[in-house]
Amino acid sequence: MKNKFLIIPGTNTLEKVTNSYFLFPLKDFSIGYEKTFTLEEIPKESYIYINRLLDHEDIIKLIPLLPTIKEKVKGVVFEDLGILEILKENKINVETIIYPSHAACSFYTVNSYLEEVDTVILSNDITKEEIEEILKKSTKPVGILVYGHLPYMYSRRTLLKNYAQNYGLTHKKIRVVKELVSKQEFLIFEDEKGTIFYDPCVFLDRYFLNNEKISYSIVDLNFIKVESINKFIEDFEKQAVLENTTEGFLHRKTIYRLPPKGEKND
Amino acid sequence: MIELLAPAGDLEKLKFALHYGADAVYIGGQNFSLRANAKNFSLEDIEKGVRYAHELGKKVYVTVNIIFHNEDANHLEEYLKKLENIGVDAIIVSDLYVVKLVQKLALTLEVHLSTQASVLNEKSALFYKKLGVKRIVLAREASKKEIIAIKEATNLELECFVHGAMCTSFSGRCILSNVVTNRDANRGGCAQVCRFSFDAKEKEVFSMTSKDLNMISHIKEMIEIGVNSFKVEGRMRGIYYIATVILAYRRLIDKIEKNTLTDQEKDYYLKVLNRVANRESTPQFFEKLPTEKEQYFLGRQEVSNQDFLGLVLDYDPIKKIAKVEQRNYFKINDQVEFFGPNMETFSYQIHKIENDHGEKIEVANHPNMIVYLPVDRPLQKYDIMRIKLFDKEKIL
Repeated sequence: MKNKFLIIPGTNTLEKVTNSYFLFPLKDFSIGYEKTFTLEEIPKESYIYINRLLDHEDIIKLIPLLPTIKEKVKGVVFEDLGILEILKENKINVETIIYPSHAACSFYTVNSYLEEVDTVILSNDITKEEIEEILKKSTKPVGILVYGHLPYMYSRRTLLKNYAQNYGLTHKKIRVVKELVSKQEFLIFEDEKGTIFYDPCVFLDRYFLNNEKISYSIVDLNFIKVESINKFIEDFEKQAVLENTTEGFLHRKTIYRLPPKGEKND
Repeated sequence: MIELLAPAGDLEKLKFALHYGADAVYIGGQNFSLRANAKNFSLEDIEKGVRYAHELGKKVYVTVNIIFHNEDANHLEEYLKKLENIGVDAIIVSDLYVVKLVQKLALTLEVHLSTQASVLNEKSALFYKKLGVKRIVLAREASKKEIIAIKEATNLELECFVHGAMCTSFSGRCILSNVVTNRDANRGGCAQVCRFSFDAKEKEVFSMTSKDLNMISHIKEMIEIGVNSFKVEGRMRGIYYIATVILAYRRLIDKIEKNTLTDQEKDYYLKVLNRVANRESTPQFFEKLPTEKEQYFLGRQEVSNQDFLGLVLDYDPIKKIAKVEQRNYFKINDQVEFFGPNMETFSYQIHKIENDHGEKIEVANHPNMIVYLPVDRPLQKYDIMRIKLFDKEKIL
């Protein structure tokens, strides 16, 4: 099956893409994105991305946008299940794609979501083998992130602003920090609605290209400059070498329970 | 219904929490629960806890709140059926699979949605209500506005955290622990990496540690806007912390319900809670977005609390002698106080200590040693002796 990409464009120049769609982080309703888009700015038949957990005021602000969403949008990728409720209540017949950050880690959960939505984007903290099992046992095709900075933490707090205020520094909405024990670096991005921690290396997963159980492959170009989006997708599919990448948790199984003293965990 | 809900990491803590005024406790089983590395409850202990609570007319909720990976769900159905048979009053869940599984199996178990689901708006709450969820444990980020809107739109039971540790992130939206330590935060292994030190290559190293939550000043308001259950965080905490915090909130809620709470009393409880905590505490998101003042920046700033001096095991009302199990060093002439659920806290100066051979001693300096103290005012089993915190009479 030919890959169908959902491409988050970042600050790159938009081009016409084939067999793929742009996924636009919706202004005021998405978090962690350098460039967001209003509904007026996006072309018809696009997908919009609402990855924030919404509060009461957001819900009030979202309702007036529904007619435009109905008219222009092909599908909505979201995390907050309130979005699904609003779309159903208002009979907005668009494709519904849930991307529940770290909560779609098993075929059990994925199939539960699939009873409610059209497709699910799998979590990024599971292994390649776990993805394979999910693909085997999911009731419908599912999506995965194939390229982009992995998000590791989402806080409602304005952590960079607080840091700057505390030390009397100039506020920067993007910083790279290093955790001192592990030496792991994080790329932190903040706006007034919260803070996201990313991996500064870019995640790359090409194991599932052309897999018939993959509904969408997400290419997230947030913070990533490419010469041409079409050229990038072409290279990506051709397995061209992409530098400074990580495979995240694809080959790294996390520990559920600490082993008793003296025993090793698997 | 106003419910005071306490954490209980084991059977002893469960008994203390209920004894000190909790209406219900939440506990974790040995599987499927966050706090994976805590002692937690075997099914046998859950049964004992439920029986104990029900005899007191109180409730037990069991957390089944991990995010499942493929291999984790073995025996889940069997486990849920056992919980139903035991008669637990509700399960607290976050994975949509468990919410739906309860429906599919037609279990009578009541489902409470965990704060891990981070519900912040009425539409999201409605989604879960349609799936049979009876109660939502709101995101700790929910402000007063959100609570009002969710209550009005759903009339669901709402449970809010009122006291204890806070995540820096939205609950369930952080895998820093997975990245840095390989321990899965959403399956109970959180290593609290947000409390580690970070270098921003600019100034001194910093942490993102949140101060704790403390809603003492807003309980009345929360009752008025429809919060049903007031939840204290801390399944890993000890009995002294549980007893102190639960008793303070019990007294406060009772006085609010009787409309007899004074500002002085509120200040007193606030002081007691601040003393027992190992971090400063604030109301966090209830009225505004937390700023730098609600955070620590210089790593762990936690104070070890050694106020807990002894646990009353027995009291002889004729001889007026208390049998006390030592928990921290104390000696003759120390000013201490006793508190418990069935009495007003009172001060006491230690003037005589006998060991369990009937010998007079000057100090109680061995952990868990049994001593006898002459105390004129009656005490009960499980009352607690602590360092005298403040001059209560002066505050009140």
